[in-house]
Amino acid sequence: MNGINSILNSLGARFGFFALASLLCLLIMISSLAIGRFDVSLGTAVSILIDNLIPIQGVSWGLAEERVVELVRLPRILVAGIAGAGLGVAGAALQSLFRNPLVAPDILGIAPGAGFGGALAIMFVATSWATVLSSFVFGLIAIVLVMSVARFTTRSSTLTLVLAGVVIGAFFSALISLLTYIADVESELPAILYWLLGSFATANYAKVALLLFTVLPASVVIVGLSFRLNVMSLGESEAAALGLDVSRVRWSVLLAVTVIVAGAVAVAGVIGWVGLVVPHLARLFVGPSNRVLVPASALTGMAFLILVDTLCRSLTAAEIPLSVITALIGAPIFILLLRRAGGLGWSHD
Amino acid sequence: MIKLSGASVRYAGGPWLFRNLDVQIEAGETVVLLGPNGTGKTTLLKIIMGLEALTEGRVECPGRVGHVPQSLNVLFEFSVLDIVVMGAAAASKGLFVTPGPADYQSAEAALIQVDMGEFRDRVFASLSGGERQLVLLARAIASGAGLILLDEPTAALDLANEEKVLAMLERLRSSGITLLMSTHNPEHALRLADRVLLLGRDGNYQFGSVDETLTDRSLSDLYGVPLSRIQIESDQGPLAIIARVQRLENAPGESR
Repeated sequence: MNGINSILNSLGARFGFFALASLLCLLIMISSLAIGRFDVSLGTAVSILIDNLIPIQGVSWGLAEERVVELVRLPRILVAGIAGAGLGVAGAALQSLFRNPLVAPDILGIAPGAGFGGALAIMFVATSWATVLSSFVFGLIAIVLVMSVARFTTRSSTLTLVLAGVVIGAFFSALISLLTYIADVESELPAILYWLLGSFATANYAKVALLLFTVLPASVVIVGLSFRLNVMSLGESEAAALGLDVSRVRWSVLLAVTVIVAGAVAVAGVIGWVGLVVPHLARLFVGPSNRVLVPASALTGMAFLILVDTLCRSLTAAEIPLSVITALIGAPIFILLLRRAGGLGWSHD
Repeated sequence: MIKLSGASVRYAGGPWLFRNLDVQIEAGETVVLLGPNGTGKTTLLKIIMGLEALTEGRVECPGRVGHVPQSLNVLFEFSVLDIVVMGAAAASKGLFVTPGPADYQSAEAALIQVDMGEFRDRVFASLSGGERQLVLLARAIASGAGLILLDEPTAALDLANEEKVLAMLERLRSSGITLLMSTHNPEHALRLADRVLLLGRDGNYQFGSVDETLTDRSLSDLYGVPLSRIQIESDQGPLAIIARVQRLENAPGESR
């Protein structure tokens, strides 16, 4: 009986967070439907959505409003939400896997690698599934390179891994610059540049589907691996001594993370900071156990990226690229967290 | 419980760490592993855990092996119970395993066994060094292992914390669990060991009962420092200590 009580206790303590976060997520989603350059009131936006399920009498709206809500804003909110959730999950998984609070898909080179793969596909193939595949392959190449560079030192410490990620990331960024240099100025260059800074402006239901087929299954895999991730966060040798098949866990997690990043990169370009900051925010509320941290990071990432995207499309007359806002918000949050946690465990190693 | 036959290890053509080790450790026995740095104590423990391979020879070790490291830095704020549950469930098969009620139950029982039941909801990283070692001991017990390997479990501790851990190991000795513990302090062998394994330089070893193996000669040879086992009378009766000895004519203040 004791055992069951322990499980219930640990879940019950976090129930409040999940209830609140889900509610907040829903509120952000719904209010985002009514925010934007084209004026749609909150009531009308909600009515338009509900009308799809139960026809509503007595309220009327124009065709333009309906199209803006259903074909522009809703898919965009869904894409931002799923991508944000995926990046939160990916960041939480990487931080535990490498026992390192400073890693994230962008810092470990996976995102720049995937970005290069995506840019390559945009130039030469230009179908969205080819973009996902190419992003995935180059994201994977990037992380394999990072890990081999980090192994040059006898003990892969916090700093070496981050350093290797920065170096390999810079390498792929240079390759991207090379692509933009040779890209056709009239047709390809604007598309690549815009995409590289990250944007959900081209969101549609096909992209929602693409994310549902990549980010969702990969996130489910990571949720399933969450207890293994707890053990991995004690360090590799400790995990091996406890009887864990370390390399199988490591590659399962890295493959799943790369699928998530490739999906997000293919629909929205390279989005920085989400994978780094979101897991730290979530950890503040639910603690370090991945069984609750991974789902909590998904919710937090979802709310965060929808909020950021809404700011991007409504703050100024022209759209602001996503990475600009994620960095402007992410950097101060990260500094605050760093100060609060006295280094986020940085000094332990 | 553990059977090593002709066990030898060397790294990439270097000198032998140890050579032709023939050692059999019986179930329920407590063996203390002594030797200077670099003689392969940790390597031997890793081989028994299956994390490293022998260069030559064979090792047989049926059943689950628990382990207690010298110390464990936990980066994130896991609770004591979280840590012990990892021991209970980590070795279960399947990638997608999640600890179940039975794992929590054995974790709590193990915490109570090492007198740390009240600490279950505390943050592991906030405990004292000795308390952390006791939690790690509970983690090894919770895994259901019949054999627990301890790699210098008191090396990072002050005297009071060291005493806590040693007292607990003394209690654990009589519980039927086989213990193999490496240490830099030969007095731990006097206090805990049924038998001792000495790993010397040049790949030599000695294995046997405490009285036959821990002689002044073998101890002094092992560490390259003159050591002597001394019986003293105390309030609690006769005690044995191991002291570093100096010949009187060389002692400071004695020269005339």
